[in-house]
Amino acid sequence: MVLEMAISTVVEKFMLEQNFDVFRQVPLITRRIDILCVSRESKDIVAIEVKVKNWKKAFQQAVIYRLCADEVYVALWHKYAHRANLDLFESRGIGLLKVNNSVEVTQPARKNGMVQPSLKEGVKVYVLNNGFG
Amino acid sequence: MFSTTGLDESMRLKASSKNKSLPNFYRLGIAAEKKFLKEHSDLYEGVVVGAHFLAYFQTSTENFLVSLEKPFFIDPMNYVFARPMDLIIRETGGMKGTFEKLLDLYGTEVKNIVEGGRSLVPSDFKTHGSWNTVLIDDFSRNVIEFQRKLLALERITTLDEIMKLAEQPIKRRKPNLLFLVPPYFYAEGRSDEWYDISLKIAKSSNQIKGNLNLYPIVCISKQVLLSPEDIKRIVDDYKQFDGVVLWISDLQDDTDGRSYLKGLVNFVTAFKQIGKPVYSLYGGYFFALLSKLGLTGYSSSICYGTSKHIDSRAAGGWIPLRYYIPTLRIKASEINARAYYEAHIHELCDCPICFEIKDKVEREGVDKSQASIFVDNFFKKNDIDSSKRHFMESRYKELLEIERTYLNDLINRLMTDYKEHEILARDFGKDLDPSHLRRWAESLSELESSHMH
Repeated sequence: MVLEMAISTVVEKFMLEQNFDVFRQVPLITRRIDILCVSRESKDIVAIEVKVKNWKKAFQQAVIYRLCADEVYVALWHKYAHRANLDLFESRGIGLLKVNNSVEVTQPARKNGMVQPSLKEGVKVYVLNNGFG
Repeated sequence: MFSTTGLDESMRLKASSKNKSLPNFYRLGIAAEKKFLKEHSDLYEGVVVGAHFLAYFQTSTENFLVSLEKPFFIDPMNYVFARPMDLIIRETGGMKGTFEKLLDLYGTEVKNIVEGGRSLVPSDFKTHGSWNTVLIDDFSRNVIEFQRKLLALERITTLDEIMKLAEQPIKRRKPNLLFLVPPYFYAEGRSDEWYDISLKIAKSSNQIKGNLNLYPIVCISKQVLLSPEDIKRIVDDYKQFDGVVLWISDLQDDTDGRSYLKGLVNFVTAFKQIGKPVYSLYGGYFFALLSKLGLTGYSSSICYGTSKHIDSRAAGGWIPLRYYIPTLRIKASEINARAYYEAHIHELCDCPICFEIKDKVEREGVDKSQASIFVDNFFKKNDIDSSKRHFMESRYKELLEIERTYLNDLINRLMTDYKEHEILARDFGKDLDPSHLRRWAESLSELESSHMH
């Protein structure tokens, strides 16, 4: 049985290759974002919720991440990624990553207009204070 | 300048209900809440105080109760001495100071057993069919006396002292103890030995209540709500008292199913039918609705503690901010409340906390991106105290609305609000799932025809 930790490692490697700094378990008030990435160029923030197969739960977490991140993704193990309701993801602008030994962007995320500035600032301050992941 | 329409409405509602009896009580949870309860004393009817809290902060709490001039009753809290010891033991070892104090007040019989290192067990009270009347009488007397002596209190304030020196008439304040509460224990059901013990102790206490009313706490598991026969018998057992207080352990009105809610309704209406007042020690919005069907009053802490499991430990210390969402009639964590209001910014209420931002939204109009900024600014300023104030204002308004609205219309509103927010369950899962609104409506609609306002 593949673990979320293993999926996270693959996603982390992928995002580093895409020119992002990557941080794990970043606090968002009373929650924690599985993977938070900061673009080295634009400084845009991408939040990623990692689950093996429970796409509904991952989606519900991702909906909340929209409050602090410019783009939000759900990362699922490739065997279960087909179960996700892509229309629903599309309607909320949430992207989907299919993870095996590599990462496939099944659906790109839309840049979201729901960011609450103090929450975005909060996660930025956290990653600054906690160095590179 | 801001329009003051919302504030005017709030004040108008208050003024028009000055002498009205609101059924809600607040449970004093932490010492800091005393100031808060005093400052907003027009938003509730009375207070509930845990005896361990009173025992530990005795003088300041007595002063608070006298100067508040509101009805109150004491939860004896003795049930903890029959539960697993870790409920009363500090994490660092040794008994918690509040319960140590309480044990000193409840008599040597109980104290000797608990200090001996074990919880109370049924055989302490009843062996081979014989009641231990020494323990029962000692326990009843001490618990009742601890509450009764509050009546002897009479406080005069510093200002009154000055008036006295100036030979001006002064107002002597007396505490408004609503009723006495005998010792009680948690019972899984009627066949649980603790059920008989609690009833026996309540009867013993009834003998010494004097001219005061006595309301036993019926503290039971929620499984009892599924048995109409058990409910009927419990009501029959307790009809001999002046009234009762219900504590259905862990009953959560926003998550428990219709069968439990209907059982609760049956409990309340059965007491109403025999003319006995019935309070609930904990409760949320569904309990407020039950005031339509005969619930005399209910309590909770301010924006927390609307239900309690018998073996839950007091959280103590930091409590995360929770914000009450009036349209959903539930409290949400800050992050969920932020997400909710970003999509429903026009649902901010008219209370003094929300009014300023709501007014701005209505005057200026907001698009989706601006909503994020508005909501962010609102929650940046929001703290525990403003969340509590908002909760109290919302509850006050809800109770006025309930009082002035036919049950059938309230049920329709629940269903309307449910349908408008049904989609939340998909986006946010159980955290903002509004299906309790539908459950409440369905549980009440079956009874509505026979209990129309």
